[in-house]
Amino acid sequence: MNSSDNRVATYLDDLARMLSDIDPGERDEVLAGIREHLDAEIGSSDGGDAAVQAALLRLGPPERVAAEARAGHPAGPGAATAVARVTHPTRTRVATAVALALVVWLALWILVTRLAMLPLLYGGSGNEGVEALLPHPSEILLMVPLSPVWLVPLALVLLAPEVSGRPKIWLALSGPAVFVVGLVAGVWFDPLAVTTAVVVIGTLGVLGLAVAIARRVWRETSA
Amino acid sequence: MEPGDSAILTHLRRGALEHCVLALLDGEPRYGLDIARRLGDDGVLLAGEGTLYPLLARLRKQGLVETTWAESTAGPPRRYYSLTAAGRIALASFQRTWTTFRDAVDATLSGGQQ
Repeated sequence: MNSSDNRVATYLDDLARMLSDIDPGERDEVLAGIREHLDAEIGSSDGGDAAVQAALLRLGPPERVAAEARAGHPAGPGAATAVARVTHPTRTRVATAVALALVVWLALWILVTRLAMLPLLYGGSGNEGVEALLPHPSEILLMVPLSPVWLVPLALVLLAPEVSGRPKIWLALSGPAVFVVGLVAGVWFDPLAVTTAVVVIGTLGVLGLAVAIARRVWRETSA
Repeated sequence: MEPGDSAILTHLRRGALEHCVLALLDGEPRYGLDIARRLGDDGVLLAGEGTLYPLLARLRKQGLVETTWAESTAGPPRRYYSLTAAGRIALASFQRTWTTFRDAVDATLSGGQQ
């Protein structure tokens, strides 16, 4: 590499280093723009060392470019959250999608199993119906391996720095909430009181809440 | 320009410079070097041509500007910047308010409005 290429490479490396703490997408965009700028400028000149030096001089010191990049993001105590929020939108979105999918699955499972029991209640005699609505021991056994499953998205949400405050709490609680509601509705409520309407409304309610939170998280991570 | 002027200039540029960039894109899409050249190298609008690129990235993120790629006869494809509808609205708003603002500042600096 001759000295001109060295100078350009050094400039770009220095700039990349100074931009290491901003959003990687934005950093790449700035570096690409500057690289293109230099290519165009040096390309239209004789390409000699003097031309390269002049071009780099006109660019201004990399510190100033980095300062301008940072000026777009307000500094202060909230900056870490703001920067982090833009840093890994994909990770947060994946975590949210997984959490939502599992909550939906869990809710649907409870909905289906509860609703499947109801015809038995109304179709058969009184005694038969009551017992049929209580979770069969094998069903409870099924729920046990289910429970750790929603701990995974729960952990993801809790660990994601991007989501904070209320959306985080609500999203984290939606999985456990659906699980507990299902358990309570299945075991403790008077089976005759658990009408189709109650099950549907309750499940859809929690689902709607989880979807609303996911949309909020989506919006925040696309800022 | 005196030494202390650069700090003031940095403040003054905020808000005005990005609209100058939008204004340059009003007629046709342009590539980075072209925009930098038109903004001048006297250090008044741009404190070094390099500062243009974070600004362009910000404008793109805000949806005021969009980029397209065009083949260039002299080398690799070039990124061209153009105004979005939102950018056009922002520019029009600035054009409406700027002259009023500038005149008011000028009048005040030369003795205040009578």
